Amino acid sequence: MAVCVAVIAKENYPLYIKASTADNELKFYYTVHSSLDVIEEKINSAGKNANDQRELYLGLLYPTEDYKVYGYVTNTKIKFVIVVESSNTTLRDTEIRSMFRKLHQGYVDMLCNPFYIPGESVSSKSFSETVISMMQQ
Amino acid sequence: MSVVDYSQTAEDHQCFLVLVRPTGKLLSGKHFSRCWERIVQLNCVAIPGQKRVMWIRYKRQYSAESNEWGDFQVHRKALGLISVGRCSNEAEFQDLFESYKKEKECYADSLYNSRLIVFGMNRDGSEIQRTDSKIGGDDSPPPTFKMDSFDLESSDSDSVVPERLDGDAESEYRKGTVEVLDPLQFDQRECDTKADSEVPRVVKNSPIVNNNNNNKKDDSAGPQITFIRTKSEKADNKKVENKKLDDLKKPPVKRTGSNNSLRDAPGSEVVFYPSVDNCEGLEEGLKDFVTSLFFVLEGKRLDRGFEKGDRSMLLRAPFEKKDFVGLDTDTKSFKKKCQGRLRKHLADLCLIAGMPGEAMLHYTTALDLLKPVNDNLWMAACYEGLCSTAVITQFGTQAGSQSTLRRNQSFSTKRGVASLDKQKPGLQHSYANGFQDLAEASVKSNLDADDITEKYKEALMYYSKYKNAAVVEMEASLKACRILILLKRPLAAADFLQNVIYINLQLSDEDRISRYSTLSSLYSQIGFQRKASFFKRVAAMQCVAPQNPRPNWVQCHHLLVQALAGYRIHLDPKDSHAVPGEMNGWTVIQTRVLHELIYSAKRMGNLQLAVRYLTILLHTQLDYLSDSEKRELVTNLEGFTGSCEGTVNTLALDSGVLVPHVPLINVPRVKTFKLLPLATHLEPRNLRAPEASASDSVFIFTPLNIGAVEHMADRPEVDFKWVEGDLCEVELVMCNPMPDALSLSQLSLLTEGVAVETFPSSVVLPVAPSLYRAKITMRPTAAGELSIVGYHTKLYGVRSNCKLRDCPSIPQSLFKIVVTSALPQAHLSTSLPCSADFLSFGEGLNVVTSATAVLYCGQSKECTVTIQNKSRLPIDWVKVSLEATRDSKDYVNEVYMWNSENVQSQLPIPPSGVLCFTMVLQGIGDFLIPGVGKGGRDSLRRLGEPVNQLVSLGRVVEGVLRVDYSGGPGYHDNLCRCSSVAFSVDILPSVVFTKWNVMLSESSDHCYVILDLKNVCDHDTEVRYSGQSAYLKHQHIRSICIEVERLEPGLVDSHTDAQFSSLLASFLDITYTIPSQKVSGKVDASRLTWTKEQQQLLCLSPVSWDIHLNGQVISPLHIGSLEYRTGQLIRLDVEATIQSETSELFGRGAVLTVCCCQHHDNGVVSYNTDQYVIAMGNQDLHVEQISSDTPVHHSCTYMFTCAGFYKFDIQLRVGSGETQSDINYGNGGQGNPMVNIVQGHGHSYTVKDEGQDSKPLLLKCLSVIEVNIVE
Repeated sequence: MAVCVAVIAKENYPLYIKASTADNELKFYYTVHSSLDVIEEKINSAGKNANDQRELYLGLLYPTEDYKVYGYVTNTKIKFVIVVESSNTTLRDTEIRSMFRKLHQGYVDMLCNPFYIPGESVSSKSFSETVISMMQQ
Repeated sequence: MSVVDYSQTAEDHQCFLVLVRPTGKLLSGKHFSRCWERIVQLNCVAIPGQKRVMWIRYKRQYSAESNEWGDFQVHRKALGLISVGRCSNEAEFQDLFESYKKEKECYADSLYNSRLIVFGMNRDGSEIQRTDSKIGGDDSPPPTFKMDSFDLESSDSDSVVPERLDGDAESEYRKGTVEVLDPLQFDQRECDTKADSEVPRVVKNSPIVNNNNNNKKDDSAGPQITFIRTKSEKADNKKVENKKLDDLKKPPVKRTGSNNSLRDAPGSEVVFYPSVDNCEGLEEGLKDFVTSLFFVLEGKRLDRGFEKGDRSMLLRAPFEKKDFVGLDTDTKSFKKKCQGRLRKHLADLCLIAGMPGEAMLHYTTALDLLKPVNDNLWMAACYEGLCSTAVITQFGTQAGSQSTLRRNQSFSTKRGVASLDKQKPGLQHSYANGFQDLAEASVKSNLDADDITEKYKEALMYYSKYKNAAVVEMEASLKACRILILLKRPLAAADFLQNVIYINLQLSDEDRISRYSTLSSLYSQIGFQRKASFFKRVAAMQCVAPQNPRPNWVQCHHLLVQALAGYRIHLDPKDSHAVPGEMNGWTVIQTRVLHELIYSAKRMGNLQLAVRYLTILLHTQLDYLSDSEKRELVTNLEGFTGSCEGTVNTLALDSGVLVPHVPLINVPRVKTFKLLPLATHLEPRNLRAPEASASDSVFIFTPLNIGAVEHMADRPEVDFKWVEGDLCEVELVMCNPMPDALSLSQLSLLTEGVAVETFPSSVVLPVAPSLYRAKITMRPTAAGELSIVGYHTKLYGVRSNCKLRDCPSIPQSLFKIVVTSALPQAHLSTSLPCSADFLSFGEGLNVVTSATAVLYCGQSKECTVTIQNKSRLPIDWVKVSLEATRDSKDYVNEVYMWNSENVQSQLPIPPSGVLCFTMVLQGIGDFLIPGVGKGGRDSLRRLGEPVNQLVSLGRVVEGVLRVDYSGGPGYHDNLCRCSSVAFSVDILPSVVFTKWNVMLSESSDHCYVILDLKNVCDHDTEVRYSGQSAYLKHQHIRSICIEVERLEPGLVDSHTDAQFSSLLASFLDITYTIPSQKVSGKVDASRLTWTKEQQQLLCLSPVSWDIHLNGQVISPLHIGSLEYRTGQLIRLDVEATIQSETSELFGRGAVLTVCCCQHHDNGVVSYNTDQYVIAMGNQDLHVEQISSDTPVHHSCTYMFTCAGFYKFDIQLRVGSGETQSDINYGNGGQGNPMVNIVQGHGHSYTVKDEGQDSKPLLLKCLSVIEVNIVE
């Protein structure tokens, strides 16, 4: 399933980033980091027609040789990025969407914790479990 | 084709490709590049007589391999060659020319024309005769380019199909084209061209009007000619035209032959210029050259038009050549292919010839032809061509090239070239009949941005089917991207860029680097800064890839520096808007990139730079590094700085990037920065108090600080001053964010304004999270306003200049302090021991030392106060004064005494000199027991006394000896310093008076003062007085009797009680010694209070009494009574002698009265003694006039009838003037049996009648004259 899941703050710094394997984590850092360009561009272009109910799901941000990067932006501009392997053809758009919904739900649950200060790195165990479950599926 | 041109744009499709080559060995690179710059300026040439513009793309290098693709896309073909060489003589020229020919050989397949520009020879110098054949014919002074016959050999392999024309015809044709320069034919051709392009226009100075007119008629008849219609027309026209052309071209053939002189046999021209600086005609010549190219092209274009219908050859891309070997050329599909490809080629030519409308038409047709036969590669080329055309028509002039055109224009104007200016308006403005505009407009509407994207996608799709066309595909992707950037569609552009990565191409490392760099710059144009940085970094890594045999660390570093922006790493900390403590960007990646940067700098051998980057890493990532990472970083840094110390200078990279100094503000973190005032005793003060400034303002001082509170906190000024030449200190409170102890060295201050001498210090900050306090010392060496802007440290071998304005925890960006001119420093000391504590005075008194002494009441002690000058300046002025607490102000001056003249006489004190003076400490006291021993009689008197009566029961008297001193330059500026010594004297009780009284003595001149002394100290005391001594044990009381001379009689009147007391005390010399303590002191009796009666007693009486009872002298000291019997006659003789001193009494009348009275035990005096006493004789004696010669004598006799004690009361009343005394003594009885005899020997007191000048005086005899009458 997902090989990397990242949560990025409104100010575009990482709140949470988890790769399925630790050895190429840095690579995913780069991948997710550069995907922010596309996310920003998509958000900006979507913002032009203000009346539309903004779709949170941004779709495929860009494909790389080995991976596909998908994006999702909450209404508070928290960005979720999921990287999946290009070879994994079983994943359709709907599956990706449901993954994002699950991730969003997990993030909201985590945010409900009164001891969590928004903007801090996410260290919640249950959120981590959600993410790991998405990677193991 | 393996060389990718990453800089290609869609507009390049309309450009001539002209090679500019340095030729021969004599031309220096510098000369060539100067020449190149001039040539490149001219990228747009308006064709004279035509309303079209030629765009030229110059290249310095172009591989033959790439050139082969010229059939596929004409803009890839090198159409012109300009060789630039240098020679100075004939032989050199020959060499040069040879190499020029060789150069030409390389591109012979494609070249339309070529030029050799020679520097170093006269334009028409020695070479004139050789070039005469060509240049001589021209009239223009600078040799202009001249087209010669085209090279025949090259034409064979040209894109023209050889079979199609026979050799003669072609050569004729070519030669004809060459002859375009002929003015007549020029116009002829022009007209033809116009006809072809369906652009009807008025031809100026055209000698052949007929032709033109025909065309005009055709066109003007139907201005809205559609392309289809005109095409058919064109075909007809062309055929006709062709014939005409053939006719016209024949004659010049001869000429061409004649032009083939020995040197430029191949048919191109050589132009000479003396030097690069001296070649005014260069642009003109170039223009002519380009124009010549244009006409060759135009000829080809028209030629294509003719070829179309007949059997056509198949144009091929280089890699296709093999594919068609042995293919049946007669099939329909092959024909279609040929037609389609040819049409496409024609479209390319049209585009280059400046007719995009036509080109679009041809592209569409070609596409229609090629689609059915599935010629994918060429279809792709068609799509690309379509897109390019669309872009050129829409943006070509406005967006990409406009700026260069403009620049070119101004350049030309400067040089006095008018042709461009003339042509340009024609190009941009609509024509009279509006034809061209219409065509343009229709083209514009054909393809919008979405179409362009779509067409490019299609093109790429088709290209991607051919592995060999990868380069074309890649270039097409880049072109598409550039267009979409213009169209502001970043996402679509990003898609194309993404595609570039997928194109699998065997590239050299260098190519890869430039591919990534191009990608990066395109991404940054889209606005994808992160992507751009990513690819910059990838490019950088490519430079030093492990498989790379020659890693280029310099380039790697150069690229990495460019990548920093996208990762939000700023080399200049000022650019960073990061708020400390907040996340800024992706620290993991930032750290990584910085590490790479450090490594590349290290491999480059620029350690200085590596140190700087490490500093930046430490500075920016400090908050996010783990302890072990910090340690590792520090180890690295120390390793680098071991051989190369980190400076504070800005480092400049070769690329021009500046890496400014990064101060390590966070290591250590400075929490507070405080300027410390000088020690209070060194603080400069105003010598004279400033004139009351309060009077200047009408406002009354208020402690309320309205509105100014918040400004107070971060004001740069400080409210104290420093002194030149003194050590001044600044206190820093720092904390250590590192896991290990920090050793800071060379800690000093950054100052401005005044020269200072710094004393760099070293501190070691412990690991603990606690704060550490450090002080930085410095010495201003001049007076003025000193600004402190920061501090300097050296940590891990890196120097940092930390500015306060960068420190977030310090609100001030600088501190300003006034440094006053130099003042001397003095050291105060005393010979007394210091006291343990000294609490009574505040800090305002600058106490530097203290002295303490223990004195018994009455004891006195001396001590020495020393002022030592410790500075290099003399002390010119000293003022010594004493300050005391409020409640001891009255008497503190009695405790501490010194001689100020002595002080002044020792001035000035030279440097390291000493001033000493003696100070006397006195243990003063009143020697009275508080509340006790007031004798019961002086409670009235006490009421008027101040409450703070000196107490003899032990007390502390504190005083501050204040020394103001000044000297040197500071003295002239009215400044001084003030030091103080705190004195504290413990006064212990010694002896006190418990009772005191006065007694008359035998002699009328003396009297006795009787004092009861009590020893209140803890030791035994010996009291000495009047040569006697008494020994007093602890708490013992002893009476002592001191005989004193009586005082002048007038003293009682003229002195107050206190004055009287002190006067009397001066006669009483009582000292005490405490043998066990070896202490001796003087008992001061001045605080004793005396009643009026006692005072009278102590004074001499103006009258001396001589009293006899029955002849017996009664002395004043007589105590006890004389015994007589009842009935016995007692004769009292009184003689009062007026002392000569009291002369004011003389001449007055007086009454001497004698009376007998009885003193009862309860103190009541009864004067009514008539029943007991019979007085014989007069009790009153009136004296007319008193004189000193005659004493007043009186005698009377008493007989007492009753036993008892009686006293005599004798008084002399001196009247005022002659008036009679009318004093009554109650019932002054006479003949009473009991006689009280009062005999006065001395003391008398006066009763004043108010308001009288000569007061009546009542002088009493104070001797006790008592008689005891017994039965």
